[in-house]
Amino acid sequence: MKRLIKSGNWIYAIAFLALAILIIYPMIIIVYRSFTSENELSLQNYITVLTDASMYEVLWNSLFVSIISTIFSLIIGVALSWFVSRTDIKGKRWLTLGIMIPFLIPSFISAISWRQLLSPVGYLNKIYMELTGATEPFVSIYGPWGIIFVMTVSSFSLVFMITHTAFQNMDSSYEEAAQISGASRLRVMKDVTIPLIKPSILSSAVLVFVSNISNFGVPSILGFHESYFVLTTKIYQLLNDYTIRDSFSIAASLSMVLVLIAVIGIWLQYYLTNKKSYAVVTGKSSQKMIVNLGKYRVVITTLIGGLLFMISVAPVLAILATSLTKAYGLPPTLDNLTLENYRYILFEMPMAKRSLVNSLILAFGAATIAVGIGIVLAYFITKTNVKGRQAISFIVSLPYALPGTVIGLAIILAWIKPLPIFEVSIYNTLWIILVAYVMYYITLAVQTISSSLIQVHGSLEEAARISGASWLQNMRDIVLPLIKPGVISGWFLIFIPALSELTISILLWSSGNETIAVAVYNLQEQGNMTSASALSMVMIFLIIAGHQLSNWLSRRMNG
Amino acid sequence: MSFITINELTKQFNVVYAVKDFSLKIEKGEFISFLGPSGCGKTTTLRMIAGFIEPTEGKIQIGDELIYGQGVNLQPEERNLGMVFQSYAVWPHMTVFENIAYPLKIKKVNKKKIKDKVSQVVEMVNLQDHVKKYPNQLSGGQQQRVALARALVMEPSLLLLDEPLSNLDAKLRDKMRAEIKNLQTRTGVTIIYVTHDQVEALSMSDRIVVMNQGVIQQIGSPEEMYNSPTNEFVADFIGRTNFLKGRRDGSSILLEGTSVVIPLPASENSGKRDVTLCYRPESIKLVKRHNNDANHIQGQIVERTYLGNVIEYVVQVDDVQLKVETADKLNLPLQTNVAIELPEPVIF
Ligand SMILES: Nc1ncnc2c1ncn2[C@@H]1O[C@H](COP(=O)(O)OP(=O)(O)OP(=O)(O)O)[C@@H](O)[C@H]1O
Ligand SMILES: [Mg+2]
Repeated sequence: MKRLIKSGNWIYAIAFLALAILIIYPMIIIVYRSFTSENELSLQNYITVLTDASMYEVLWNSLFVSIISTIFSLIIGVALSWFVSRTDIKGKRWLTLGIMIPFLIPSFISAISWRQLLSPVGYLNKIYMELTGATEPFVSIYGPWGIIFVMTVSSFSLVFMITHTAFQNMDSSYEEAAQISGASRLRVMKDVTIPLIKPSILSSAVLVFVSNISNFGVPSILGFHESYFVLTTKIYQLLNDYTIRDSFSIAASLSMVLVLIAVIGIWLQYYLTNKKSYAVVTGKSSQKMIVNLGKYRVVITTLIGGLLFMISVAPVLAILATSLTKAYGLPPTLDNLTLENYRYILFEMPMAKRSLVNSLILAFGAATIAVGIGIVLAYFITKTNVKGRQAISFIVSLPYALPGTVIGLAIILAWIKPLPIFEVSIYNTLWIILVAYVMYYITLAVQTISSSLIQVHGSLEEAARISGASWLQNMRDIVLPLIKPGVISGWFLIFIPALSELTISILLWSSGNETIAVAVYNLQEQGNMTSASALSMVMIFLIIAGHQLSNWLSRRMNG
Repeated sequence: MSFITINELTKQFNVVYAVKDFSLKIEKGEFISFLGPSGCGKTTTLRMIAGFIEPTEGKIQIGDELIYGQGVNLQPEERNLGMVFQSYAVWPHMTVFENIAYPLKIKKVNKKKIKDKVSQVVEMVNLQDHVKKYPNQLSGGQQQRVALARALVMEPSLLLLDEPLSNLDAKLRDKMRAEIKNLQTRTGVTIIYVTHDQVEALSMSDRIVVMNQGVIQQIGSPEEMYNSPTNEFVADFIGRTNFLKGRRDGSSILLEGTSVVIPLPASENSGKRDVTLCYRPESIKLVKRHNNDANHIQGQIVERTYLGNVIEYVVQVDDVQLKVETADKLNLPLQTNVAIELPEPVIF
C-alpha cells in the first residue's frame, strides 16, 4: 500500500475510473441503445430512421445549411484575412476587432439578435416598412436562409483566424519568387498564394462544417417556427415527444448519423494536417508582400468596415436596445429606456437568478474537475511509456469532437437509471449537467496541460526524485509550479464556453436546474424578449470579463 | 556605357537611412558582391533593384532601359531579372520541373520549348534525376539548385542572389560556391551577390562593394580590398588587421606605446599628425634574431594558438600586442623572445 501511494499509481487508477464512468460508459450506452428496441437487440431503430422519408429531409436540411454556410464563411473569412494580412487596407486593428466580436458571442445569442432585427416584426423590417410604406416585411430571418446567414456570421471568424495565421506564417519570398518570374499580382495569388494556404482553408472548412452541423441553437431558434428541422433539432424534438414509442432509441440511432459525419470530419482534418507534401515551410522573412489598393483603398476599407459593423456590432446593439426598452417592439427612444429588465432578472425573477448561480457553479466545477483529472491524464500521456496511452488521448478527445446533442443524449441514456454498482442517481439534478460538461470539455484541459508538460524537461523531475521527493512531492513541488500557466489557460478555456453552453444543457435541464443559456432560450420561446435580452447581455458581459481575466493572468504569468 | 547604372539610390525608413547615395556601374558579365555587416543595407539595395522596395530617391538603369527613376517604376515582374532567395523559396506544391518551368509558363512559351529549355538548365545544375520530385523530397543543396535553375531559365540579363548559401553547411557551401562561379562563367550572366561572408565575396567576385550603415565604403577588386583598403572599416572588415596608433614626426612615425620608430612610407601624404597604421597578421615576419634593422623590433610571445595550417602568435612589444601569423614550421614556445619585421603599413 505504501508503495502504491509512493508511486502515484492510485492517482492514475482514480483518473482512469473517472474516464471510464464519464466517457466510455455513456458512449457505449448510446451505441448499445441505438441497436435495442423494446429492450431487445435489433436493427429496428435504424430501419425506422432509414425508411422514414422525413428523416432524409432532415438529413438533407442539415447538410444543406451546413455546406452552404461553410462555403459562405470560407469566402468571407479568406477574403478578410487576405485583405488584413496582404493589403494596405486601413484600420487593420479595428477591422480585426470587428471580425473577432462574432467569435465571442455564442451563436444562439446571435440568432436571437438577428431575429430581433430581421423577423417579420424585427427592427430592420419595421424601419423598412415605415420608410417605404410597404405592408410586407423586407425579408424574414426564419427558415433555411436565415439559419445559413446566422451560421455564416458566427463562423467566418474561425476561418479568418486560421487562414490569417497561415498568411502570416507564409514566407513571402514564395510570392516574390513568382513575381520576379514575371507573374502579375493576380497570377501570384492564383499560382502560389492560394495553393500554399489551401491546407488551412480546407482544414477550417472541415472545422466550420462540423461545428455548423452540430449547431442546435441557431436552427432551433430560426427553424422551429417554420417546422424546418435539422438533425440536432429533430433529436431534441424526438426526446421531448412522448407520443412516439422508443423515441429515445430512435434518437440514439439518428444521432449515430451525426457521429458518422463528425468522425469523417475528424479523419479528414487529421488527413489534411498530416499530409506532408503540403507542409508550408515558414521562413524568417519579416516583410510581407503587400498589395497596394491604390485608389480603391478608402472605398474598400469603408465597405468592409461597414459590412463588419452590420454583422458584428448591429446584433449586439439590437440586443442591448431590447434589453433597455420597456417592452419589446417599442422603438428605443429616450422615453422608453429603462433598467427595469436588468433589475427584474437579477433580483426578482427566480429562474433567471437561479440560472446565473447554476451556470457559475457548473462552469467553475466543470473547469476545476476537468483540469484536476486532466493533469493526471496529461502526465500519463506525456511522461510515461505505458502502451496504449495514445488510446487514452483519443478517448479523451472524442466527446468534444462529437455534436453536443450526441453527448447530451448519451448522458441521458447513461444516467436515466442509477449508475450500476455505485447506485447513484443524478438524473434531474444539476450534477448531470456537470458530468456532461466534464465529459465534453475535458480534452481542452488535457491538450493545454500536455503541451505545457512537454516543455518540462525530464531531468528536472529526475533531479527532484534523486533529491528524495516522492511521486506526489515531485508533482506538487516541481511539475505543478512549472505548468501553472498551462493549467490556468486550460481552466479558462473550459470555464468561458461552459458559461454559455446551450446544446447539452437544453437536453439535461430540469426545473430549478436551468443554465443561463437555457433560461435565455426559454424566455425568448415564451416571447419575453426584454428579459431574454437583458440576461443575454449579462452573459456576454461574463464572457468578456472571463476573457479579460484570462488574458490578464496569462500576461502576468509570462512576465 | 555600362550595362547597369545605379545613381544615388537612397532608401529612408521613417527617419533612418537604410541605404544612402548608393551609386554603382556594373559591366556586362561582371560578378559583383555586396559585402557588409548585418543591417548595413545590402538586402535593401538588392530588393530596390528587384523592385520589391520602392527607393526614396535615385535611378536604376539596366541596358538602355530605365527601370526606376524620373517617374518610371517597373514592377518586379516587368524587370526580367532572376533572383535566388535566402530561403530558396522553391514552391512546395510544385514539382522540380514545374518550379523551373514556371517563368516560361508565365511568358506563354510553348510546351515543347519549355521542355527543352528546362532540361537544358536542369542539366546545368545537375538535377536530371530529380525533375519529378517535390521539394520536400530534396536536400537543402538540391533545393538551392532548383532555385538557381528557376532563376536562370529565362536567361535574365541580371541575376540577384541574397545570401544564397547561408542555410547550407560548410562543406556544401564550398561546393555550391564553386558551382555558382562555374555557372556564371558558362552563361556569362551578370550577377549581384549579397553576402556578409568575406570569404565568399573574396573568392567569387570580380568586384566587391563594401557597405556600412547604408553607405558604400569602397568598391574594388578583391586584391584592392585586401591590400589597399581605403579606410579603417574596410581594413577591419576584410581579413584580420593589427591597428596601431602612430604619431608623425618629420619623416618618421613613432608607434604609440612603443619606442619603435618607422620611416614614413612614400604613399603617405595626408600630412596628418596622428595616424592609424594597419598590419595584416600574415604580413608581419617573425625572425629569430635581432639584426639591428630599423624595421626589426624586439618582442616576446605571450599567446600561441595552433590552427593546423598556421600558428597564430600574440607578440608583446612594449605596451602593445600584435597578432602574427606564421605558416612555416617555426614552432616557438611561450615566453620566447623574438624579433619581428614590419612590412610597409597601410596608413589612414
Ligand atoms: N521595412 C523596414 N522598416 C524599417 N526599417 C527597415 C526595414 N527594412 C530594413 N530596415 C532597416 O534597414 C537597415 C538595412 O537592412 P537590410 O535588411 O538591408 O540589411 P542587410 O545588410 O541585408 O542585413 P543582413 O545581413 O542582416 O541581412 C536595417 O537597419 C534595418 O533595420
Ligand atoms: Mg539581408
